[in-house]
Amino acid sequence: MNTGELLILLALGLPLFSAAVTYAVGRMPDVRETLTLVSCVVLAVVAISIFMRVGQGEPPELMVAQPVAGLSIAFRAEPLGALFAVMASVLWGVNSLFSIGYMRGKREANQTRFYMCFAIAMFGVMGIALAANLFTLFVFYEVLTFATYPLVTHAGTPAARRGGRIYLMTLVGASVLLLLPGIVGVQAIAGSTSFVAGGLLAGRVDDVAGSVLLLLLVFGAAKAALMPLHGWLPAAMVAPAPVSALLHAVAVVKAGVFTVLKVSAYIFGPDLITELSAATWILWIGAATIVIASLVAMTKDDLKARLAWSTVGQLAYITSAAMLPMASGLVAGGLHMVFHAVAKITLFMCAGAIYVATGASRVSEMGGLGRRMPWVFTAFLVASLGIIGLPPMAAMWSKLLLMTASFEGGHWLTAWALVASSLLGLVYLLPIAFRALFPPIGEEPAREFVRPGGTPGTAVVAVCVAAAACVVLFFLADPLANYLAPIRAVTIMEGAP
Amino acid sequence: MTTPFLDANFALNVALLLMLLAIALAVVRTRSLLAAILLMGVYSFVVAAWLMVMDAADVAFTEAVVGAGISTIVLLGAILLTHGEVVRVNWRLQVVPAILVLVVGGVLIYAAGGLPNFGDPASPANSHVGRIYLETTYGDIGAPNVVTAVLASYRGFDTLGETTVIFAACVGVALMLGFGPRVDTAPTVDVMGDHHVVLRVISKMLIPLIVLFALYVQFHGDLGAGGGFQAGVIMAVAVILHAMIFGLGETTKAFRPGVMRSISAFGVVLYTGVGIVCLVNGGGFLDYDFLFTPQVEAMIPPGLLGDPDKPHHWGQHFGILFIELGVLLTVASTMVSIFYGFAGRTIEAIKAERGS
Amino acid sequence: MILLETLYVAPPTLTAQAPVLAIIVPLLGACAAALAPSGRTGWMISVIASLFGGWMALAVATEAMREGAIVYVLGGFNPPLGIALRIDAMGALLGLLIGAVGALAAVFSGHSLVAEVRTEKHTLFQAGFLLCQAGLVGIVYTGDAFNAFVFLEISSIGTYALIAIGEGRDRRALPAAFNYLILGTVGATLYVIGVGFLYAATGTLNMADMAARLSTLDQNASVQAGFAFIMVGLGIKAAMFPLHGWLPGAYAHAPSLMSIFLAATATKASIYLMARFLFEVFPDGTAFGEAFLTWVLAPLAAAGAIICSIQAVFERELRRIIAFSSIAQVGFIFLGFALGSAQGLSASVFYIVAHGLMKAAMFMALGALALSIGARRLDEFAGVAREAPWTAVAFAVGAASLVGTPLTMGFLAKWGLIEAAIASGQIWIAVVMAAGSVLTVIYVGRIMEAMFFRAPAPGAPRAKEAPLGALAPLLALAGLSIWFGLDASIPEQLSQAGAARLFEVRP
Repeated sequence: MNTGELLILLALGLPLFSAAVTYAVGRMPDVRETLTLVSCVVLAVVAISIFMRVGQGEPPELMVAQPVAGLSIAFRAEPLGALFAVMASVLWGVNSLFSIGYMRGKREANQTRFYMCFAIAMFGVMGIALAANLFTLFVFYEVLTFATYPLVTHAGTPAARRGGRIYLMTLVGASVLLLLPGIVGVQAIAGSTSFVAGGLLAGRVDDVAGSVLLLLLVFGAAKAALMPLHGWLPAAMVAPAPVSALLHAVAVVKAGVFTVLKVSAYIFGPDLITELSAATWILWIGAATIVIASLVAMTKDDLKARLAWSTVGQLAYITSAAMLPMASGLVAGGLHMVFHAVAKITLFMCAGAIYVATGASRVSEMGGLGRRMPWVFTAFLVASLGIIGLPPMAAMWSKLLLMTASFEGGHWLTAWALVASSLLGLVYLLPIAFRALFPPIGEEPAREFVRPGGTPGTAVVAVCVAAAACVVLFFLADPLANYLAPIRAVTIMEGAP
Repeated sequence: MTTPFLDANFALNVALLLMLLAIALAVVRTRSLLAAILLMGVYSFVVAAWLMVMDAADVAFTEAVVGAGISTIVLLGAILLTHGEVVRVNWRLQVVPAILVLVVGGVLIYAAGGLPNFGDPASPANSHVGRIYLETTYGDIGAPNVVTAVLASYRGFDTLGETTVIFAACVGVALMLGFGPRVDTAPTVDVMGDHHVVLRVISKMLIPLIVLFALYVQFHGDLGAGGGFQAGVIMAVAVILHAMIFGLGETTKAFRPGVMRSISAFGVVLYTGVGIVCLVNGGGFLDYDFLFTPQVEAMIPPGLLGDPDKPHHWGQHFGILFIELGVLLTVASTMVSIFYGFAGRTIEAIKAERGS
Repeated sequence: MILLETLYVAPPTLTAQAPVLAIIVPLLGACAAALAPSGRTGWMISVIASLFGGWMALAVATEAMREGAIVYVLGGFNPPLGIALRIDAMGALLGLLIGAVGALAAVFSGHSLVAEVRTEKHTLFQAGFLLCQAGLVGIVYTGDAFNAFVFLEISSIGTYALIAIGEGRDRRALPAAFNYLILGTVGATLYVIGVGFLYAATGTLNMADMAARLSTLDQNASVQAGFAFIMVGLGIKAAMFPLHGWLPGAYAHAPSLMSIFLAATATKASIYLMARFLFEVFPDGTAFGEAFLTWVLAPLAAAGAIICSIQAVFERELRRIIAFSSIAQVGFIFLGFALGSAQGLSASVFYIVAHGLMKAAMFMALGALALSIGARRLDEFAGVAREAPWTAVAFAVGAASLVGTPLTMGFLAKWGLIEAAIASGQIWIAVVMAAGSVLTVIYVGRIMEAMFFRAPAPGAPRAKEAPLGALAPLLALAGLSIWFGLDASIPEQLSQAGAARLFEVRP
């Protein structure tokens, strides 16, 4: 077995191993959480090694099983997936740190199940990131769905169960009704579902069949929350904050847009996708989603709900980017996937920290709280700027690239939607941090600490690390863009069917 | 040649059909279960007669024995456990079944249009496999009755299956109804009173004759109508008659319920065993030609069945003999077991009634 | 990839006789079990006979894969004079399913019968079970239309009583068994009437011979009526919508052993027999055959798949949910037939096996739970995963396969059907399958949520983990669903080889 195969096995095996160990030592919380953190670190190292090897041009590959001819469980790292893997594994570590503070602070029940499901969800994410074909991706996509369902319903209340049901039904329903038939369709047409540089279907489908398949695959990946299949995301906010943070800023939703990006880059290919009429329709829907979601976010008083709606809009950026592959669209999509993840996880962790410390979950209850929790709200401010796309935050670059791409492609609607959304972001995000940090003179903080000792220490550390990353990535945008460039460049060089 | 105005055969057929129709309507109309069961017995007899008119002697015999004989007895045993009257059903519930019956009838009538004429020698049934049976039976099997040859040898596997069905019925009834009366609790002749003396005397004379007839049907099967199925049923009737007249207690002493069930299983084992012997001797399953190894066959005196010069198929002959014996054992003991099952239930029911 | 040959070891003399031994060994076992002195002995006989039968089925499958099709002549008379077993790869696969599930169910019955059936009935119960097994193997192996009827009866007669025995635990078993008895008998009668018509038209009962002679007879009224009778008769036995009325009660209220075995195999054998008539006996392209596939089978199957899934969603009793699900799944299988292509047929046969294994696992898990709690309604199963984790996991594997979760056999089965539907251009069938799958997710989700995520009601009886003897076969069944989800080469090769052969020889 060569190093590449070993790395992939490790990337998949570590989370599973971590889940098993968590179960085994579930009765000793300290050991359990230490081990979780250790696995996070090791997984991040593994993911980074894979990332490096891809950069050096020797992508790891692994073939696991072939249940029936033409269908295989196989893995192959490529730039987009390697980036996704690194992002997810690093943020898993940050988020685990936060979880420890949050879960202990809230004295939640069933913590062992919580950490186990988290680890299994990471297993799903790694599988999605490294999948070599649509079938494998689908398998791990479902693993992720089912592993996160217990997390969403963690509270066990009727409301949590109702949210969980919507979550499961939308995701599974879409994947069975749309994604799976789409994949079977690809298999029926191309005889395989492998991700091929330049597009598996290039030259094999006409506009009608291609459009139908594109619609099936894009809407089937309901984790991307493109309207009208976005309802599950706000519903899933019944989950504890760490779950929302990792899963609904990083793992689950990003798995959705990642699927869309992969489909665009490797199933249809840049040349084909620009010719499909469905791509234009999706761009319109994406633009509508961006604007509507931002408008709805403004009306939400519950902080997590507001963030969720903001996520819906931001995800539509990436879906739109995937439909604009001829320019820098794909690269923009890949970058935004990472930058938004970092910013959004910061926001969710802040929301969680505020809730643990003060019990406040509504925006209207947070006036002046910045005085009690300066670090948390500063981080919140930084991340808000990141979401809006202002310098010196990383997301500025991806937004810029995306806007360029939409102008290049002549999609003015998308470009205007992006502008509108940034402006709306100013309205629904910035005031939160401002009112907390700089309240009108004489106004007392709206709430007291409900938790003795204030904000949990690990949570503060996690929040600050994530916020710092938003800034650091601003300077790393160029190398990352170069790293991702092959997904486009290869298609230009070898793209001919 | 002129066709007579009224063909006698045609008239007979029409008459029998009309009788069947009348009886069937009567069965549907009557609300007394007893009357319905007896009418169904009559129906079977008429069918048997009709089959005789069609020269299907074996089938007619079976219909008479099974349809009119043992079925009637079992059904009579069953209604002892019920109210004996049909509850009137709302006619609306019968609309859908009626439509279904009409549809099925319609399809049957439609299908009749495609059937060959009765007795047509060129019909597929008479010209293909049926004709080969007629031509080859004597040479292959040596049995004069082609029906027996087909059932026991050519399609012996089917007959094994049917014997197994009978055994399955034995298992099923025993599971459902229990194991019949326990020997010590069944009522004996004493409780039945003394007023059946005429019946007892007559039946004492009849039972040996019935058994003798059963044996005749059994061993004469390859010459004329008959065979293990019919013989088994007749044999069972002898036992059931005994139980009816002399009380279940007396009968179960002689034919214990457990033993009956064992015999039922043993019949199937015997049948299968014949097949396995053939298999071990190098033939296929149930290939009677391999029933005896050449050494054994050499020991059979050539004149065992008369004419020593005539070529004999000893394997076929004895194979059929053994498997028919297996059929007899299974059928007879199963019929008795089923009767025991119902009768045991009846006794329990009567006791429960008296007790309460 | 694991090949069949590596699994099967036996002397060639035994292999040559394997087809008939697979039938008569369970049959002899039934006789022996009926004579056994104690329930324990009966159980051992049952286990040995089932295992031997399963082993022989493996031999048959190996041979069928190598030879294409096996013809075993009975009584030394070549067909059409005598009866012959004719086993192609698909029949061999179904025989393997029956053998495997039969053997595992027999092992499992050691515990479940003690808990559910009165001691003195154990020997006869095992006898009936073995008879049913012999009959089902006979149905899929035989090459003779009338012989199939005989085996249909063998498998049914005992079954009626074995279902009724469930009355000890659930009084509703009696009406359920009675319903099944009446409908099953009607079905068998219709079948035999149909065979009678075909005999009148062709003069033969051998299926291959019949097929050769029917090719010129498709305008014949009695052939058409015979076709209709056979399809309706087998449709009842196969629980084809809307002829499925007997199934929910029969599956739900029977003793566990019968639920397991019937759900996995009984309807499957009839379905397969139906496929043989559709694609082997009746010649390709007959107007009524095509019309049946397009205008009768496909709509009814689609309706069944959807309607019965919805019924399962609204049903409250767990066993009845699974029973309704079975009818819906039969609809899926028939949708594959309705495609009328080799790919569709092979996908359906693969689906039959997948469904048999998953349903056997699910009913066996419920049987294992029934050892400790007498729960019926779904609420009463709340939280059993905590008390009986292994049983619950095995159930979950079966359920996951039912939903079509990737890496289980059920996923490959659904995949195959949908791919076949798309390949033959019948997109609406793919849509129906996808819709049915979503409904499946709903009712399975309800079950999973109750079992795994809800706390048991206070004061409710606590479930206990099943003893090893019951757990081992259960985990083996669940393992098979996973194994064939990871490496489906055995069922896939057999079903494809069989279907391809059937469509190759057709004109």
